[in-house]
Amino acid sequence: MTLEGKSAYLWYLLGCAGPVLLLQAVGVWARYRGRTGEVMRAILPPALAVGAWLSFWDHFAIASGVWRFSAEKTLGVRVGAVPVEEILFFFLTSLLVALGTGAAAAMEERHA
Amino acid sequence: MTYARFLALFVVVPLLAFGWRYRKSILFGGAWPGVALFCIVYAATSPWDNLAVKEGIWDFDDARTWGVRVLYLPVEEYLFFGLQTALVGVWVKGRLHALSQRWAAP
Repeated sequence: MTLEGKSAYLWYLLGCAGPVLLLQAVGVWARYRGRTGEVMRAILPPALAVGAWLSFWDHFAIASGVWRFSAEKTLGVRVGAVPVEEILFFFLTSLLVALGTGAAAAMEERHA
Repeated sequence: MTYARFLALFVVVPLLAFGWRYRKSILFGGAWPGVALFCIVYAATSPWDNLAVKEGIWDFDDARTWGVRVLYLPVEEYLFFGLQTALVGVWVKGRLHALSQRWAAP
């Protein structure tokens, strides 16, 4: 597998996270049905807040040189020092964990 | 600042705060789903992140890590996976616990 081009990070991220997120969302809906809205209102704020928080400190980590991104494999659009793909990464991974925790809570109920 | 110090300041401190805030919810419904979630996160994220570094999308400055890599990643990166999962998971679990209590209320 070779990842090339300025959209390499973006497609790598969306290609891996997108299908899983979709499956998780369907799973949460299938479990909670009419209460899905309430469950999403419970789990979305932490996912969004943590995504924003991690993006915030990532700026300082990049500025400090802890890690660096390829200019050839990112879009080149940055918020502060942070590539937009990286911001998307923090939001998507936090959402993956939040939905996974929601699905796990459903499993807990079933096995209680 | 090093990767470890960033983790300690920006992830471990909030995690401890949320852990304390939601201490009664952490084991809500049992521990095994959380353990399963951690296993899934590591199984999915480790190859994903390793391949990204191998392909040169991003990389780390060894002078700002402990200098120990497992495959392509410094050990702090593996710690980050678990800490992010714990941070989001504890907070979400606390809110779901509160929601389940509202549903159970007469």
